[in-house]
Amino acid sequence: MISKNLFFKLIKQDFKKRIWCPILLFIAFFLFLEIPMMMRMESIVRYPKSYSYDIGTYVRDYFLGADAVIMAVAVCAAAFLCALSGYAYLHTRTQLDTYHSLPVSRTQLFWSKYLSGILQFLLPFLTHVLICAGIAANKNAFSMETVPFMVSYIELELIIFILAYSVSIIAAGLTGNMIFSILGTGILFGYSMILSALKLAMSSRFLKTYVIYGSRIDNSLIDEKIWCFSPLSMLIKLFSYPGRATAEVTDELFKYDDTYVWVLIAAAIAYTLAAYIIYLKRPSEAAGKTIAFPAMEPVIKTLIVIPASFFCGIFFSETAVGSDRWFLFGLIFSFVLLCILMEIIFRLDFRGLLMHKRQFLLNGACVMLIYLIFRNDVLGYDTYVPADDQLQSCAVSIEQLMPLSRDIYLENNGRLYIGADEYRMINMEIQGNPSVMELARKAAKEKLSYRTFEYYDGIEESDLYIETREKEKTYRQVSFGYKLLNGENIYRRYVIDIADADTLRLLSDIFNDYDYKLGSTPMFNSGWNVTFEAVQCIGNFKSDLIKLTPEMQSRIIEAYQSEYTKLTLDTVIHTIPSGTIEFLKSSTEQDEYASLKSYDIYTGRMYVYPQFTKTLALLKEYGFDMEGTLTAEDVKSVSVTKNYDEMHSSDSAYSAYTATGVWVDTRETNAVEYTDKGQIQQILDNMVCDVFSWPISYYADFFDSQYTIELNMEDTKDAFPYFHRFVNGKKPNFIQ
Amino acid sequence: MITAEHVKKQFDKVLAVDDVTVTIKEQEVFGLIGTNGAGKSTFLRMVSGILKPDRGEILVDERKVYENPKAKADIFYIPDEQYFLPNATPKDMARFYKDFYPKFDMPRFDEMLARFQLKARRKVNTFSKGMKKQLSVLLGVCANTKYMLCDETFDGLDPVMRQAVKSIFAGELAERAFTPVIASHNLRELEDICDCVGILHQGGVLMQKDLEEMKLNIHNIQCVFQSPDDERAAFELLDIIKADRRGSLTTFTARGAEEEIMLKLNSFSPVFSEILPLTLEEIFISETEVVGYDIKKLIF
Repeated sequence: MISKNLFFKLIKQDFKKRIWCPILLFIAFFLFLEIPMMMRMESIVRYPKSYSYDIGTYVRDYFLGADAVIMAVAVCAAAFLCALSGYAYLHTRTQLDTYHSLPVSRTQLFWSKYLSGILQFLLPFLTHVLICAGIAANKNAFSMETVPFMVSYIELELIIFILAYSVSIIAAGLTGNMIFSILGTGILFGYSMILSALKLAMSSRFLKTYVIYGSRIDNSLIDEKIWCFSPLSMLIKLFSYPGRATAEVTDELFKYDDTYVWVLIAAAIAYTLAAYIIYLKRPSEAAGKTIAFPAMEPVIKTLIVIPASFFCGIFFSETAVGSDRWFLFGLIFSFVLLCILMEIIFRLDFRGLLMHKRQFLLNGACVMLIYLIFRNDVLGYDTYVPADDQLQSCAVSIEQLMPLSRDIYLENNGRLYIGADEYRMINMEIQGNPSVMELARKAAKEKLSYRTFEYYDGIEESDLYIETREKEKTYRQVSFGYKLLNGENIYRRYVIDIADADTLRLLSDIFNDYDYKLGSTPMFNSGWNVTFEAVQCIGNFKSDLIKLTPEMQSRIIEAYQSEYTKLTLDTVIHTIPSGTIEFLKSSTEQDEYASLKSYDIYTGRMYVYPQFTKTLALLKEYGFDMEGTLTAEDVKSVSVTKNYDEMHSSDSAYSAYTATGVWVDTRETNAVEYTDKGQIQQILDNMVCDVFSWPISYYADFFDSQYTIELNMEDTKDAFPYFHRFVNGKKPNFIQ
Repeated sequence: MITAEHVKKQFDKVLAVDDVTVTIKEQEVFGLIGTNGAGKSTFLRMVSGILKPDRGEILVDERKVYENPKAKADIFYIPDEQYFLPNATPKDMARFYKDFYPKFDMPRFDEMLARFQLKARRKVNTFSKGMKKQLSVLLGVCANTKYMLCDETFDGLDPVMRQAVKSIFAGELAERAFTPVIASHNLRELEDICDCVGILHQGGVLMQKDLEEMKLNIHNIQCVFQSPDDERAAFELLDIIKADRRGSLTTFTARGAEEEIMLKLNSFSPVFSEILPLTLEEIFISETEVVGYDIKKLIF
């Protein structure tokens, strides 16, 4: 009875019925494809120096490659439109009665509408992609080499469409009216993302050792421990750098994670089947109701109310500077409010607000249980340290302990970088050093943390505050990455007290470890394969840029590496560095106005100590005497500014800021200018450059932060752009 | 034949159809009467395969109808509010239905459109409510299905059109296998067209009767007895449903064949007696009163 003929007639009918949909998409895709393409091509032709690629490369690698992510957003919007317009009839009784009374099975009806929706997207999309190919060909920017890129681009966008499309159909099938369909689509589209964000927010809020890195480690916002079942999570994963990406990977022009496409295909098939089953089972009487399957009502309520309550709790808590009381208030208040709201939404009636008391109590109990689990760390997250026999290797990052910059730049137009901690977690593999796990266990057992105060006027004067802050002066943070034998990676960030001799001994053992040094900077790994253009040197009194040849580069890196790996924590704590060096690459993004040569920084500043004799000698050979000094004759005047108690004034400013929302720096300055050559010489003999003193100040307390020194040189070409500080305890007596 | 056995359908806490058992024979016009909310539409939606009964079974020519395109191919359902495709004309709608009902008679549709003075190329959304109803009926008739389920289809039609539609139904009945099921809340609408009527009330079937059989088996008689004793004796002999006396004139409704009633009545030699015509409404009032319902409160 039901022939193939009828199936195609159904598709044709559906296509005709909502012909506005492909027309709308045709216009939208024109704005998303041809227009930006032609604009960019015109720009490349007009300003070729501004681009590192030609039109052909643009079409192949960007338009049909990296820019797929922008198109994916439009494709998702198209999927929502096609799905909701195709299955909206389920929400209207008159339409539903007509379609479901016809002599056609639901299976045929579902698949005909399903295919029709895909065609409504695919036909305009394909047309526009082909037009784009034609435009590119006309400009000689399309070759046979581009064809596979175009095919994979179409395939990728089609998979993304089907994924988003089937999720929207599920939402349409589960709900009984359009508004709830749209809301449902939104929730289904990003639910696992919401859970990940909640887990992140709750862990950050309650767990002392919780640490999160950027997108390249598997404990980021796209948490692999929470199954990424929502399309949004999947798409972010698809278009993110693969986990544990190396500098080489990120150096390449990123397109998408090919291996993850299979996950998307599997998900698209699974969601399509789920949509089909829901469609088959959906009762026709659900039209106009909030939810099509009454049995799902309590599940949906729970899945919405519990996370939303915690988000509200966090919101209240953050508004009240991390207060626990406000968190609890926000949690309970929003829970009750949301339960009532959900009852109103599901019943579309104010009556029966307090229906389902049992469910209310059950959800309430769940909320409290989750709260208590996080609040009291019932699962022992903070105290967990893996056993030695579970461990493959360890990564450690001693924060605020140089030499390393805070961020390690990985080249991609100079925009991408990862934090030093994150880099070490990926690249460091310490094995066979018992001090590592000993320190981890000690830190986990001691459970030290920085105390958070609820600020009020005058808190700085309170004994508790002063005592706590004084005690915390010797607190430092150390991050651990445990790489387990089962392939799992666990990250923790502990607070340690370096006033504890035993802790400092363990810390020294780690810092002095060869593997720690090797894994702590890209310079000694991939840096060997990078061609640098220059090295920026900063000494105590001067700075300079040395242009590098490959040989010079190799010699400096070799000398520095051999000396740096022998550096001990004791040296760092007790020795004033001679200066810093910083390797630079020429920027891949050309300055549009070509007036300045720009560089990408590779490692940040690396410290050179007086013990690094080989390095210092090499730099001297290449024209930079890092240990060179100034005499009073070189300096016209010295300006010394006394800063008021920074900690005190900073807290006061913060306190005022939280109360008024306006940041007012209460520090005062009283600069004094010294021109007497004798005085200038005394100052010059007892000062250290600020630029390489403050980043290690947490471990090497050798400068006096109360004073800022500025040099005014006799010859302006010798001008030194950085401030100085007095070496601790060596402030000349004439300085007030 | 359509048979529904112990069919039940509940929407949340509302019992829309409760234990309904109905048999709709072929080639007869079946009227489904009930107040708003009695369950008529729900019953028809189940018969047409839109809704799945919670309990019980609905068979169309001994085939289950839910999710059975073969059974549904014999049914054309006209809901109380018919859906027309956006911006469709009557011709578009005919083409739409022709895809699903291969026996759809397009030339006849054109002819009937002309007869009902409906323009084939005018957009349906510009039609009046009555015109839309006419169009629905025409589409249903031309689909040439064996069963046509009409939900409140006659409400909204003017008397002339109603008569025209009725004549179409009569013609179809005469020409082919055709069984219309007409749901209405107005008994008078169905009086002159239905062969059989089922009354639905609060989800359940109150009664289902063949109209001819009912008309032959129930009579309204007006008479003047010679004495009250004669009246009492006569009432004992007859199967009286209800009786009313004004002065010496007694009007009563009795069950039984006309000849049988008159024979028994004449044995008391009444001063005057005659059979009065009974409307369908009166028959139902009488019948339902017997089973304890005040039908006037139910359907009029």
